[in-house]
Amino acid sequence: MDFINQVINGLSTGSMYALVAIGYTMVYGIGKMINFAHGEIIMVSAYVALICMSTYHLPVVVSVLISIAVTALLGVVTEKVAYKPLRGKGSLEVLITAIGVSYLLQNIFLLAFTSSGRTFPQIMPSGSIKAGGLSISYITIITLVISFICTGILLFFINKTKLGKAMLAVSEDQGAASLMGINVNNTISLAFAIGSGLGAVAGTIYGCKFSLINPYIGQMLGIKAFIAAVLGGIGSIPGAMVGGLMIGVAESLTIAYISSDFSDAVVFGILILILIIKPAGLFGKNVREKV
Amino acid sequence: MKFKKFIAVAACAAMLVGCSSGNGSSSSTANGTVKAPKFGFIGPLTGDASQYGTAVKNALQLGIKEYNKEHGTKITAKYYDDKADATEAVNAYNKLVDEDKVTAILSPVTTASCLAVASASKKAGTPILTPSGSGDKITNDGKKAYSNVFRICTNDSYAGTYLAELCKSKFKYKKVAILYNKELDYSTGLQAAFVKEAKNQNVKVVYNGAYNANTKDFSTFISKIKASGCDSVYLPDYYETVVTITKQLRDAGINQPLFGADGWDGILGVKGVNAKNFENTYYVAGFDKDAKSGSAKEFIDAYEKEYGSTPNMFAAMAYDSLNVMMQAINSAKSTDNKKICDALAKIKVKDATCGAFTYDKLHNPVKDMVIVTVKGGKYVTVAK
Repeated sequence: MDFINQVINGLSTGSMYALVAIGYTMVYGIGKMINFAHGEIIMVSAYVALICMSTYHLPVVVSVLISIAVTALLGVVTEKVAYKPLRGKGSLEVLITAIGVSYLLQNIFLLAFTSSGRTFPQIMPSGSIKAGGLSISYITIITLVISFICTGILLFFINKTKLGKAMLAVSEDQGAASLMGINVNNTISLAFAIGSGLGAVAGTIYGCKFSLINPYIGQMLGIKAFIAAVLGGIGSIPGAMVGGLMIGVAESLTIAYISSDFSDAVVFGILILILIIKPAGLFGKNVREKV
Repeated sequence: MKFKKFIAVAACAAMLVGCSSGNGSSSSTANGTVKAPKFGFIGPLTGDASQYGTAVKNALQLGIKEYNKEHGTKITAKYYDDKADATEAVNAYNKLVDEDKVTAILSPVTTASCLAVASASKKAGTPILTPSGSGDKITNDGKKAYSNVFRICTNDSYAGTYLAELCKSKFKYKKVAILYNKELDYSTGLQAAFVKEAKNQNVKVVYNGAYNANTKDFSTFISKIKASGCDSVYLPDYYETVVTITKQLRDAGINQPLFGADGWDGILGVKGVNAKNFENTYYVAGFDKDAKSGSAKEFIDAYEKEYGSTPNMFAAMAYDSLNVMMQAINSAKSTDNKKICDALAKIKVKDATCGAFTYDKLHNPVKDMVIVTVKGGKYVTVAK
């Protein structure tokens, strides 16, 4: 029973990683770049939600919506200001810029909010469901449900709507897509907006689950989600979801049955293994480099 | 220059007195009080433990202001932020000794920093009096005390042992689950002392979980705690982590009593904390926040007037550290490292905000502790 409990714990944390991983994967799929500032964008979203709720006393739903909107806007602005001028340049320049943006955001928030943590208001019910030997807390279940709903909506949007199909087209071939009359700039902005918006959901979940937030929370969360995206096959949305869940479960089981010393080692070990064995990831396509 | 000359003369005079009267302590009546000692502070002013460092700094500033006003002295202090990091603490220590030429150091604040500074200071022998460094091995190597290191708070094993005794004598806990931070000396020290004494007291430790310093998700541990069938949970860590764990424990429906040591001080100071989670929790501390009289009460009033907030235990201990150090310097009548340390080792503190104490052979204070709980969003002291 303990084993199943731990798997559920892992799935819950993993689904949060998955939401963040989707942000990485979408931006990579469409913009062909890795947005290393994504973790910090989530940190910002957690603060926005916190301020809406505790300073302005807005209702939870409104706060989360504001947080999603602000974060999506931040994603778009970052892309326009920092990444767009570099489009067409080497990937190294973009990568370094992304790291710069990440530190910029972190330090702005350090200045504004100091490094002491602030607790997130209690918005989810406490307590747990007991069935047999299982005992699952409400937060765990709510996290899982919200993550799956978000991913479901996203998959529907991408596969069934015109805008979504435009995104698919841009990710296949930017040049051809623009020849077909698709506005590539807007589509890339949309990818940033959606990725960051989902990140805001993850940011709120982070606050609810772990309670204390500070300007550093994006770092580790971002890295783990990035590994999840690589594991699932960067560029693939179902891949990011599966990758996130796997990383979460791997972490939880390592802590439960081996030692908490190894939890990070196992996660990073997975990254190394996947890069050696299947660099394209579980759901990734092997794209041959044309010479 | 005048001061330096004065100190030099005073020091010489004190030495002469010291020679003539054998061990020259209380019998000397020469009016050679040290007028302008300079103290050093090393502590976290930013970062996870900043609440402690800030409290200590505030209290030192207040204490120095009061002392100078009352005794006509010109005490000064120099403050360095170590972000609770041992390397930064040693850097700050070197600056204090080499550049600022301080008389003594009323720090560091956190255990890891204290350990590092204690070992760095062996050679120079600068008197170090930490208000709050509670790690067992800060002031001694287990057998013998370091001649220049002292503390105001009780040591970890003292609190760990004290808690294990309370489990039996007061709380009647029989099955305790422990969750501790294995990357934090403070936490491992408290955990080890508790486990050792629990055995003697017939208190069972049903789960002993260790997490890392950067753990944020405790769900794995919490499932294990649930399965352990414990009647209480022991959380020896600092307040920010305690707030995170407590929230997650309560969310998971674990409503058993929780308890910890002085690192808990500050839990209600975290912005936005849900005080309800802390009903039915206890921690032991050296300072009575509810004091109705005596020097503790005087200090609380003065601090509230100065800063507009209630002082925590760290502030009180810092305030004591200044007064204890001045008492030692005055009885040594010298700023000589060794003389101050000798005076500290023999000191009898009668009137301090954190209670009277003397030092044992390992330079640990021997004193009584208070039990604090949270009721209706406020700290309340509980009778033993």
